[in-house]
This record gives sequence, structure tokens and C-alpha cells, in this order.
Amino acid sequence: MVDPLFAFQLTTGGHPDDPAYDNGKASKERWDKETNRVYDTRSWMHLGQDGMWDWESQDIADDEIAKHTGAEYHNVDLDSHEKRQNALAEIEQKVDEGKPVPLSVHGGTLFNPHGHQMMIIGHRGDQLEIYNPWGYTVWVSESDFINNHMQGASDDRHPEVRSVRMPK
Amino acid sequence: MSTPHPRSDGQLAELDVEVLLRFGLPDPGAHRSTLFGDGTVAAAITVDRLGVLPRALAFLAEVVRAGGTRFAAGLPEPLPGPAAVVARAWLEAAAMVVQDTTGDQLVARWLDAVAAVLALRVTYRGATP
Repeated sequence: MVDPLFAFQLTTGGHPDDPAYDNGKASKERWDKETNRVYDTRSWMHLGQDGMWDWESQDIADDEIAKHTGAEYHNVDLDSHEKRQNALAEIEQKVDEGKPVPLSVHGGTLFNPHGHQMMIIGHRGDQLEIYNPWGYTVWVSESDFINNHMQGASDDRHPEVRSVRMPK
Repeated sequence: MSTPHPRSDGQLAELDVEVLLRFGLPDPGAHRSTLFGDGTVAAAITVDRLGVLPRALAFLAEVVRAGGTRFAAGLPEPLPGPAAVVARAWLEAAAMVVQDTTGDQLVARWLDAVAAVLALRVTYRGATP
């Protein structure tokens, strides 16, 4: 479930009570390095672009988010109007149960793709509340979700819903 | 129904999580939705700033499942370091309104939701445009 040695390594560098390692600044540096390591596991084929592809985000959602939280997810592709329409009830049910649903959005072209990860955290009437890790929550309508008008939740590069990771 | 307003991390961090827990845990409805929506983000931002890892929240959720909210509130350090004070205040607020194991399960699920939002923040904040 949790890995105390990982936390111990991160906070103390494996040298508890040694001021050279066991201090706030060094701990923050190890933390940043670990964060970057996670992000750097994305494919080299990005060739200098930011962001992640969907298959990577699935790996990351399973490998990183699930590893941190113990929650299990399965990927649900939402690359058609019908699939999004059909998945909506289950997404809303999970959110209503208090289980946030990780969401991939994307846009751009084959040679210049853009992708981003967010989380559906709330549901009220026909509105979905989405947390964008850029630093805000935003509400989108079910209609915008189904019709791929998601740019309001991030920016114009990511209008389309790609997939969700459905919690168990 | 009017569309609720978007909120920035700064605004969300100002929310009183203890109040959200006291009003949101007892019954399903609007307060519950706010607790699990804005409330999870507010809590995640607060402990993120104190250097807490998502796994610490997931662990605390397991403790609440196993021992109950009241027991977890009595721990000397429910979350590591300076976040201990914050976590104890949450758990004490929750313990005021949680009556049974069903309530404990709800508190545990809320902590898991906070862990998930925190995991999203720490995993993807490097992906800023």
C-alpha cells in the first residue's frame, strides 16, 4: 500500500540526522528529481515537445497515481460521441461516490499532437467539475464533454476528450 | 441551474476544510459534493505546500478504515511533519459528525480522493504549457 523506505529515502536521502542530507532543501531537491523522473518516462519520440500521449498517461495513471493512492483504474477510450455518451453515467456515478476520475484530453495534428491530464472531481446537475493541475477548477457541461468542446477546461490545444481512467 | 464559478488554487486554498467536513459528511447533497469537489482540492493544496506525499494520505485513509476516525484523530502524527496539525484538525472535525463505520468509510474515501488530487498535482504540474 505504501512504501516507507521510499519516503525515508526522499526525506533523509538515506542519511537520517546527517545535516548534509537530512535537511529541507536537499529533501526538496530529491523530490523535484523524483517528479522529473516520473515525467521523463514519457516517450523519447516527443522530440522536445511537452505533454504526454494517451498510452503514456494510462501507464502513468496506473503506475504513478495508483501507486501513490492504492486505487485501481481501468482505461476507457472515449474517442467517439457514442462512447462519451455511454460512459457519462458511470463517470458521474463514480464521482458521486466520491471517487475522482482521471481524464485525458488532446488536440492538434498527427505531427503536432497535444495532450493533457486533468481530473473530474464533481458533478452537479448537467455540469462536471474538473480540476486542472495547472492550478484551477472549472465546470463544463455534459454537452461540451460529449461534443468535444473541452477547450474551456484547459486551452484551445485540447478540445477533445481522449479517455478516462475509471476507478473500481 | 446556474453554472458554478471556476476557482483558482489560491481561492481553493482559502476554503475552510474543517467546516466542509462538518457539513458535508452527515448527508448526501450539495455540501457533500462541495466536500468531495472543491474540498479535496483545498486539502490537497494545503498538504502539498507542507511537503506531504500522496501515499501518506492513502495510508491515513487505511488507518481510518481500520481504526476509525476518532482513533486516527488521536494519533500524534496522522500525517508527517508540520501537516500533522492540519490532519488532526480535519479528523477531529470529521469525528464530531461521524457516528458509525459507514461514516468512517466515507472519511477514508475522502482522504483517498485528496490523495488522488495530490497525485495528479505532483505528477503533472511539470506539464504546464
